[in-house]
Amino acid sequence: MAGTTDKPGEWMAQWLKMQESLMKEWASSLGKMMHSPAPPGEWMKLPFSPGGLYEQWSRSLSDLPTKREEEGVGRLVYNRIASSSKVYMDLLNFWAKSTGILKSVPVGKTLTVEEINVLRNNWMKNYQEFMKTLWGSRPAGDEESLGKTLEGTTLSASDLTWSLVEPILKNVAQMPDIVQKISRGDTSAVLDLGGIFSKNYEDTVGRAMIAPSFGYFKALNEKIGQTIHAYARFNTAKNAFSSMLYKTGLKAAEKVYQRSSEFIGQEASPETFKAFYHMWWTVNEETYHDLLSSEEFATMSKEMISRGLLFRKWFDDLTDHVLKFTNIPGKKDMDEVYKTLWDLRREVRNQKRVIRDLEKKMEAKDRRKKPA
Amino acid sequence: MAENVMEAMMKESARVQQKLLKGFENMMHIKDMEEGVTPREVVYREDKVQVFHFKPEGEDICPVPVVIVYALVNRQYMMDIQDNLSLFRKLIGQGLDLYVIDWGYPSKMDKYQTMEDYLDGYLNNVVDFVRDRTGKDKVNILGVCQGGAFSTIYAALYPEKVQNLVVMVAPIDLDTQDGLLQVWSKSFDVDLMVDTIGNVPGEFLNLGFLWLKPFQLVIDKYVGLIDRLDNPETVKYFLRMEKWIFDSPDQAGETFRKFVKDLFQQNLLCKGEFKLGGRKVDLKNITMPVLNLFGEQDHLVPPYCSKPLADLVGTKDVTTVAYAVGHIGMYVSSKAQKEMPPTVANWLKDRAVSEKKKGPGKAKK
Repeated sequence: MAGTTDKPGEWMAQWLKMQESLMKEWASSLGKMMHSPAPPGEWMKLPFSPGGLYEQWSRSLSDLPTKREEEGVGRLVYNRIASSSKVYMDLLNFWAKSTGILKSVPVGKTLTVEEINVLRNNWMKNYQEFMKTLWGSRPAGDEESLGKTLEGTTLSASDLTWSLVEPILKNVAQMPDIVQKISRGDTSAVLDLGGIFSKNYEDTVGRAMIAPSFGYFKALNEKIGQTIHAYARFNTAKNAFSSMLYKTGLKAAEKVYQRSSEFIGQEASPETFKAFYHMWWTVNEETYHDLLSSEEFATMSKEMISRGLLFRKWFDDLTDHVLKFTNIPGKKDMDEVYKTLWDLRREVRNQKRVIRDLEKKMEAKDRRKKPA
Repeated sequence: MAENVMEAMMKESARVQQKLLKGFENMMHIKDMEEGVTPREVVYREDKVQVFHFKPEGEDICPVPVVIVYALVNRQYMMDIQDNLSLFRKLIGQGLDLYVIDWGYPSKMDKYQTMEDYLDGYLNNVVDFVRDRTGKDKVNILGVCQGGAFSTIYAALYPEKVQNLVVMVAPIDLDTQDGLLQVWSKSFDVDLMVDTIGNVPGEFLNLGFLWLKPFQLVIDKYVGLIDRLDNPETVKYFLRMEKWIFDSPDQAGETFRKFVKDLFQQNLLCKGEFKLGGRKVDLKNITMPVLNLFGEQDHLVPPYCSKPLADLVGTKDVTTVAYAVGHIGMYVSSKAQKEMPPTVANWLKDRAVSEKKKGPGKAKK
């Protein structure tokens, strides 16, 4: 009934006990601090917070088994839970901060437009910080696998691309302005980089990449150029796709901000946070559903996948060209083998069926011959 | 006030960490989970395909064997996920003689494998094998999800071999702009994908399924488990489900191309224009009784994709049963587990009366 197991040794039980007692110590020392005469605002500035402690603890937990345990379904799923818990804990941190911001407004006071803007901007700034965690969490490593599927490449190709595009980025006229925006904490400015890169790339190096070559290495040079060009275009599409997702995240943030007013006046408790968490993920789900069912999403995802595949196509073509000079089979050679095998299997299946039908006919004939 | 916030944070943080520790203890040592729990026997193999036989139990045995055709996406052991949640176990408990197809994992060398290979080849061979083994002229076919569409096509092409057709959450009518999968597949360049990478990775399809409800399936599902991490049985059930969800075989390129282009993008099966191996598939050839089961809250194959089958087939004996569950709920929800097996078994037995009168068939070795 139970799955295959490999029970942890004595060390694991000891280690778990140690972790539990360590957690109790943290809780007790933080509890003491909360009841100390230090002003409450100071607690938020502590070098560690429950979220920070969680992160350290979680890291120590996930690092440990890599040394001691092999991969398995338990570990794999635990990592998914830990990754989602990280989002949950960071949302808890954000909730504490935002609750603090909203509670800082004196009861009964009518706020000016400027004050409301400051309040909203602080809230948004904290939320954007939190969004970094959100986009850091991956759905069970599948995006990574997808990336590998589409790219199917080596690091050197991206290094090469970077060395080509770096000068463009450095010389872009708009760069200082964007850097300034980023330094002011405007995360959306990072996304503008993608657009600038795309435009400048297409106008400069991009043209060179697909220009016809000449000489003995003509074919090779052209394939290298096309591959790098396809990779750059794939990256551009990937950035545009990410930008669309990020912008939707900001749209959801705005809705969460509006709905946060429902929590004003409620006591800060784990239950209130759970209600906030539920509101947060359902609002996000709805907002993303609108995007996912839109024409824009269909177009952008098609663009990204197609460009990824085109890059892969050129990369395979280049690899085949290089392998031509060796005795290692390339993709085209293997495809030929697969095709032949498929033909043979079909042939065998058909022949087996013919034989089986003949056997049946003979059996029936024999039965007819035998006297009753 | 800030004291309250800090205290709430501490409490919640400590709770999560304590639960995660318990989860760590309960999960980390589990290397793998079993693929199916009901005793079975491998009775047929061909290339990567194998057939499991599950012997019927009880006295009221259905005389016609049932061939279960699962989808190529994911694996058939979802229907046998754990002792108390096994449709296979419950179906054999109702006296059904089950033959379940395991399609296996296509590798790169299977990229040219077509839908004809699957249906005219493997499925037809399996049906013939079961007919020979049981001495019956016809078998019952139960198709699940994509396997439901395959079974419908097969029944239309080989009606002389099919006694009754049962389909579960089968995508039949795909001319819709409502379901996300249907919308995405319309703009998907399947030719470019198959021409470039051959087989379509299971991870790619999984990503698509996760994107249907990203926050629920990537975050809340796991956060919701935290509270129950200290229960070893809950953890084991969750691990089984996770293993199944991410156990996604790659799709043989040519089969995937035809499935997406002909069914999802052009809805040819419904239009009566679908062809397999040069033959037109006319659903009006389905003159045997049909039982159509679907989930009212199914977000993968919404009800409007399954329901129209009744109007497309050539028989008047069509029974349509809807359950108030989602796609996965059709296999593992307590409601479906309780109601579906007797519904299927009784429906099949009612339509096997003539076979009962004939008595047991002459089985071959």
